[in-house]
Amino acid sequence: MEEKQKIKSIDEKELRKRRREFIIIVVVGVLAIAFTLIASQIFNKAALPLSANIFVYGISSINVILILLLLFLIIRNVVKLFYEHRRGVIGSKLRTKLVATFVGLSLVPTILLFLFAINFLSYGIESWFNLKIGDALNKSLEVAQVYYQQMEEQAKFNARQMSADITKNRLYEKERAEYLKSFISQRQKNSRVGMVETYFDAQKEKMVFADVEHPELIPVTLAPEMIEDIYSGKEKSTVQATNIGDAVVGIVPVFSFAVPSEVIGRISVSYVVPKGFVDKLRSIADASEQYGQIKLLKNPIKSNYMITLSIVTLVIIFLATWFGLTLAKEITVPIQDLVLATNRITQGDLDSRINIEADDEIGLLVKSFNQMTGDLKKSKNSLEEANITLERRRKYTEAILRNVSAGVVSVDKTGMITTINRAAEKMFDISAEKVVFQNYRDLMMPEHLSLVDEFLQEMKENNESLLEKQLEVMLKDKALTVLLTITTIADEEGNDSGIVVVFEDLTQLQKAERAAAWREVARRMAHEIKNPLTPVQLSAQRLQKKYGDKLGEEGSVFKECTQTIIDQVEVLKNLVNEFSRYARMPVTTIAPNDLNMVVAEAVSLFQDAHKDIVFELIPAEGLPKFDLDAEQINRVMINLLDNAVAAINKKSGRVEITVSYDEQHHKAGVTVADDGAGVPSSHKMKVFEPYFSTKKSGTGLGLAIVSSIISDHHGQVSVADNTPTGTIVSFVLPVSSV
Amino acid sequence: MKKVKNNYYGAVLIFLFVIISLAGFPPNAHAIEPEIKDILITNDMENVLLYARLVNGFKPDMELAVLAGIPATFTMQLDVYQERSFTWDKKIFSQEIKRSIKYDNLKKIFSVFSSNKKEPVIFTEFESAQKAMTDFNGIIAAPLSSLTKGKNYYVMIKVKMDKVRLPLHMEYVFLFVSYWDFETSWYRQNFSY
Repeated sequence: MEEKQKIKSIDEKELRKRRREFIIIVVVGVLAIAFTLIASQIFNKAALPLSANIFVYGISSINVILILLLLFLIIRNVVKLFYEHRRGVIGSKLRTKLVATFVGLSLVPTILLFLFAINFLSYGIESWFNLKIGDALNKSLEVAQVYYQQMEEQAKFNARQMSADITKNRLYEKERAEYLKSFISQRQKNSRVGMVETYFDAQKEKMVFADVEHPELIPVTLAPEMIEDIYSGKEKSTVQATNIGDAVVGIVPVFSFAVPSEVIGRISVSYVVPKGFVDKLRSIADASEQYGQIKLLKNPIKSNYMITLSIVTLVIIFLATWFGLTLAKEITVPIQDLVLATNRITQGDLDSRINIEADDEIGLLVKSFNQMTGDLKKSKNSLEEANITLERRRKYTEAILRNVSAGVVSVDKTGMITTINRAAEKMFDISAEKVVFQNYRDLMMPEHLSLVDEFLQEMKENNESLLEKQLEVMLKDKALTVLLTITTIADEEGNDSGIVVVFEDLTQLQKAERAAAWREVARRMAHEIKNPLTPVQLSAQRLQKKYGDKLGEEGSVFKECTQTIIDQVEVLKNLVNEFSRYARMPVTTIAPNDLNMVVAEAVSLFQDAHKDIVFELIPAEGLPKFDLDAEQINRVMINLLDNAVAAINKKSGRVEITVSYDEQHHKAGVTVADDGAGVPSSHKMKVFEPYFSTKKSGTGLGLAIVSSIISDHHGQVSVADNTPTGTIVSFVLPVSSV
Repeated sequence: MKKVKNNYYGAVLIFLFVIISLAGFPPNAHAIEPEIKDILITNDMENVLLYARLVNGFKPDMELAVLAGIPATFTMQLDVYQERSFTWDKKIFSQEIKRSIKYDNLKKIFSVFSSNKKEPVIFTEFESAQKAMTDFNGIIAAPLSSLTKGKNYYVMIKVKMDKVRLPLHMEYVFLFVSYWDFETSWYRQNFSY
């Protein structure tokens, strides 16, 4: 029960854990998608403030962490499934198969798509950086650059020429300023020179000659480094953006006429590239710039796309795995529950139910299973009730069988003893434990076995299912008269299921019947024979008295004959008296007496009369006085001892008289054991019958009287062989408390 | 039972460790780190001036990126502290100087923008432009008026390169692997007034 509860609690714990994991996976997945969308939205904006940068970085980091977490959860589930499969957990095999199928089904197209996309992407990216496109862009840029370069060169050329003329004509001198102005104006007109700007150290002021075509052009500011270079004698050019377009400026130093290596000022010539044209050139430059930048990032871009594709592929695989796991769980959990419930039912827990609500076939299966379990429980309960009734009946039948006075033995069709009741055990002096499930053929003596075979054969020949026989059998040293009833057992289909043998012990009954019959015979004999005997004897005595002396010599013969008649009549009288005594047994006078003393008195009589025979008396200890007829028991003892002495039939011998007391069963017993000739087995059945005697002078009534008296005392008398020789005659009397 | 459970947790942890290790360590570790050299503190009539030079600020791949028109920005963080014996040192002045370079491929000029100047400085040579980017000359560390005579001060400086803005927002792709980002450690220069 505890184990069951433990399993139940573990199941609930596992279910809670799975539910929690499921929620985490869903939340993580949703967050990952949401953050990805937010991040992509922000990426689309051109300018990003620092805070947005941090935000984007944070979101991206969280995203990566979430993806890792998702990865962890799915991998954890897969690894768990693997270990469950290895441990042989119920349902894991099916789950593994389902997950493998899902992963396989998603893996093949995904990988194919992935490979195709990678190739396509590589080809696409490579084609972007096609040499022709790059060359065209570069050459376009070069054209634009050459245009600017030429403009710069032209500006520098014009500036250089003007610088040379200024130096040659010393126009840098302050007093020649007017000449300088007319010179520059003339040049602007003749050579289409743009805006000119001069600066002479001596004058310390700039002179700007505006472009005739672009009067709105303002002078550009030169970097100090550039001015420094110019004063070191270098010619410089620059392009600067202005409000009307780009200003291409060529700056050259103005040398001193006196000292030609001395820079005394600078002159710059500026040309205007119109805004419209600049924009066109700019777009060429931008395209080229972007191309260059993308080319620079070709490999990272490629890697990026590959990583993206890989992530998408992995996400698909993970989703497929997750879907597989979820679906497998949905299928396997009820199956797992079914298996567990089946196991519990196998272990006898018919209260086990599966609590799964589903509208599909699984739900139907669960419902059917629960119904089946309920039915099973009902059946089990009725079966148990039937079993209890059956068991009660069996016990009752067994009790009847056990307490029935007849011995009952059942044997199955193979000859194996299946049951034996207490009466049979007692009757045959055997233990049920030793004979049950043994073949009767292995246990029976050959002479008895042949008898049984004979009976069975008879039943078979006569095609009878019941056979009754009265038998007189000798078992060990005990003679029994039994009524044997053999009944064949057949089941409902009429198949042979063995036999039942009932033994009814008729020994005592037969003894009583015989005794009664003999008493009747004796009574009649006494009545019919005794009456004519007295006249016969008296007549013989009268004849002897009247004619004995008168016949002379022949009188002796007459006297002898009449005397013989008188003697034999006397003998007959005695015999008839004996019969009469047997027939008219005095009514038993029961009174509390000491059996030990009664027996001892009888023994002492014989001890005195037969000095050569050793009479050993072993009295019973603790034997109380009980109801018995002392005179009749004394007579019994005299008869038994007389028989014992007669059986010894020699001068010396030993007679052992034992008085015993069975306190538990309230029985007292007396055995008289001699070492005489003994009684043959065939005679044992008849020794208690009247007129049966092995003694020449015996009337054959001694043991019949013994049997009669003991029977009157509700006791039992038996005869058995003594070892090595002799006979044991014993009787048992019930000891009723006084 | 317990042992098996531990085993599979172990396997998962090892897997995650490998993943995180691979993600966490960039494959291209910089061999030469940028550093600040020739730090000099001086003053004019009004201000404490700082002179310093960033070396190894431009790497070959970064030079290529700049020449391809990708702008790059260096930011110098400058803090002036007053030394104090028993309490934490007091920050008395702090400023950030940004310098950006942008190449114009059409005009073949480099424009160097400085946060303390309105107009960009134009260079035709990349070398000159790099020099303009990395030489921090005459930076006003703190006005003299904010210092107390006889006290000890120090300047803490570091230079970092802002995240390069790449086309197609590629800079966000390299969350863990950045080629051009750098940040020097803090450099300290003591001075007294």
